[in-house]
Amino acid sequence: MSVGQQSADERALAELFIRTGDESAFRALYRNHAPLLYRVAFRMLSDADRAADIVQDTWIRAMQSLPAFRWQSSLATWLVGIAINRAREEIRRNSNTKPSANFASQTNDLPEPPARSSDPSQRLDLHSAIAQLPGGYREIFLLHDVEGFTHEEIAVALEIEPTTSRSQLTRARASLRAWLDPRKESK
Amino acid sequence: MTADPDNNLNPEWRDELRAMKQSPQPPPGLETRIADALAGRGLIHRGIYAPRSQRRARWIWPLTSAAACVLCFVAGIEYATPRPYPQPAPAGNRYILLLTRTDNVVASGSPEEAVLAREYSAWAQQQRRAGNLLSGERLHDDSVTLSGAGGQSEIRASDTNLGGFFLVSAANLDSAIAIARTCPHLQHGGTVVIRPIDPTPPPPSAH
Repeated sequence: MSVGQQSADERALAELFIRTGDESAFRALYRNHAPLLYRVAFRMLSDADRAADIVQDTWIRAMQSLPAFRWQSSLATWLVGIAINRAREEIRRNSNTKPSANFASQTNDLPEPPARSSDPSQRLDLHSAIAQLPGGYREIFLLHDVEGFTHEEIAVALEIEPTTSRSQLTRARASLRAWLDPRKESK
Repeated sequence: MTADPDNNLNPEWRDELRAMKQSPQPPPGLETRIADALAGRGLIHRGIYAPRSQRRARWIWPLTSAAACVLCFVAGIEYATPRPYPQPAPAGNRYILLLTRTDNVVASGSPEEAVLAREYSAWAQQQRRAGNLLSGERLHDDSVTLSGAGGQSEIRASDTNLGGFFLVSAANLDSAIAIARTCPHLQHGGTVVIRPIDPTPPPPSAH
């Protein structure tokens, strides 16, 4: 089952919230989806406080727009799309907001692999390498390989074509392998 | 998750990626912070500001059982009692019908609730037209008990099961009982306690 699939209960909760502003309905929805939104925001911004702000803004925007949501995608897909857009805005607004690596780019151009250190302890780990992927590649890698979204769901969330999601995932994985796999280093 | 047709994920990453799906977790206070923010924007309705439909939902929501009913007498009052209520007949006595909740509840907004609401509404309108119904209110879910034992006042949340009341005018207790027997609340497993109102004598004249 894809992470983007949902139960009828979730739609019932959303409809209850729309109809009555019921707090328990919101809290149930929050508990279903906030961990996903927080993980994605945190990995885009590498900042816990800002990630929390992004999650808050996401819920406010989502709850304001919920009556207009047509359920043509899952709630998770819709929410994560809002969160990513909000995180992108935050990144654009603050050019100092970068993932942990200093060569990270917010463009979709893959950077050159970082220079390899001869000291294994100085080499990138997977977390750091993911953080250094350019924005679009990182988003797709996180949504697909970490969170379990399908390419079709990613296409909806990010408003791209599924083929774009597939090709960028392939390139993101190739970059990570090039950065992380010592066997590649010698080639 | 659908199998990725171009699955070229490094096997040694799988455990690490799986672990990444478990953390980090949102900070513990974030949920309430966001709920407060939504309430501040009027998107969440709380307490006495909640619409009646939501207040009904608040006590229903944690309950998983789904059947009838005390909620609906409130709807009956809402729909059936254009104010002002008729004044009691001079010769009539007043009785309060205390309606207690049951575990037999319907989901808020469900078709079953609408049916029950119409049933209560029809009953309340009938009693009002007959001059029997003086007033009625739903009681809010929140309540506080003050205890003055030992000269100390203690405030604690009440666990009363009282859901609302009707105030009726009747010639005597038997008539009040006869009125209460027709209340749909009983037919749906609720309890109605009938208490005569003890008339308060007018204060003695100063002269």
